Amino acid sequence: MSELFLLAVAFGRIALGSFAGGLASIALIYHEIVVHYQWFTDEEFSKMISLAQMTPGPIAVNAATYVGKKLAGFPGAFVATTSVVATPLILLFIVSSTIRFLPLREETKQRARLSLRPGVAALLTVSTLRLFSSTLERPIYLLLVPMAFFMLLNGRTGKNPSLAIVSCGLAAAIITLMLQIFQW
Amino acid sequence: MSIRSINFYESGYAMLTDIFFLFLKASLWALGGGFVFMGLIEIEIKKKSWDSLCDVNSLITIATSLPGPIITNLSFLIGKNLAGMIGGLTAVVGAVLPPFIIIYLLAPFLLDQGSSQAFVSSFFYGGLVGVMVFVFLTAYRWIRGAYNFGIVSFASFALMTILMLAGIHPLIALLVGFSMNMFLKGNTENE
Repeated sequence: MSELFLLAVAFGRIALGSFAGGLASIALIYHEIVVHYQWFTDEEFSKMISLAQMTPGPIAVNAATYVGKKLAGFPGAFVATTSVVATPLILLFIVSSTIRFLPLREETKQRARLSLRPGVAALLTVSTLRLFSSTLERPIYLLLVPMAFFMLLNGRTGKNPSLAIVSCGLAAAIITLMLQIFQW
Repeated sequence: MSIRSINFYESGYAMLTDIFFLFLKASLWALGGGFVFMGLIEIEIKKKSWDSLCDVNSLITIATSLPGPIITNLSFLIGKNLAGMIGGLTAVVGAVLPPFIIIYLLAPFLLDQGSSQAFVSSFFYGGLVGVMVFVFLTAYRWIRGAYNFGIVSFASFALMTILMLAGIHPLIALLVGFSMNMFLKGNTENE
């Protein structure tokens, strides 16, 4: 019981602290899971993160399901995942009801909404650069960049971006396989 | 038939199942996390012509400006705008189920691959290239938006990017950019 409660607290904190996309939340997850609660060792943690990165979904949600299951089976996975999802939504609810309660003019609210938009552009740019630096770990796959651009900008295949992402993955896997088979 | 098609969404139930499967699908394909999901959902909402029912760009802005996973925040907001509180919860459940099931059931197999390790990890690194290009294209759209919105807003974008790259906490960087747009942007520079 207390384990479930601690899981809920830990992942609630991770959710509230994680900001601006998954890659930034890894350090926070590390702090809670390895340093603070010592549920995982360094090795288990890095295994979990590589798993979380190659499966769909937010890293924080993947981590919650994984850690929760390891510690307390299905109830653990359920509680940790619910906490990581619901905590920010409760905050969202409080913020939006507060804003509705404030005596602001509709113009001001509209102005505030628009003022937040350049921030999204900045977050996306930073995220692109981070992704670029992690692809540099295996520079050979940069050969796939033209293919990705072609597929995403093409009218037909561009409608389904996941197709381009999966194709890049498959192409890279085939290249690796060929390299292994022919021992280049 | 015509009555049924007009009242199709009035039954509510049909719209909820549509919402559920839309978010389930988008979440399943969002291999690179929140920023990919964002782009996918934008396209899917347009395809369904639900963009007349909710302002996706505004909701994306709110979802990224608040803490928590972008995928679940955004799902809730869009679902809520389309079909109220129950719509929001339906969307969140749809978006969370794929990662939950995959991690819960498949983690042991994915972690214990032995010989196919090289194959799986190169699939991941190759996929990352596709994710990078897709996020870059989404970023380009938003940067163009900031540019079209005026010099102050473009300057704030550049400043926030530099601050974040310099290691300043994103929340502080976003606050700086927000205040710039909120208070510096004169009334002379109307939309």
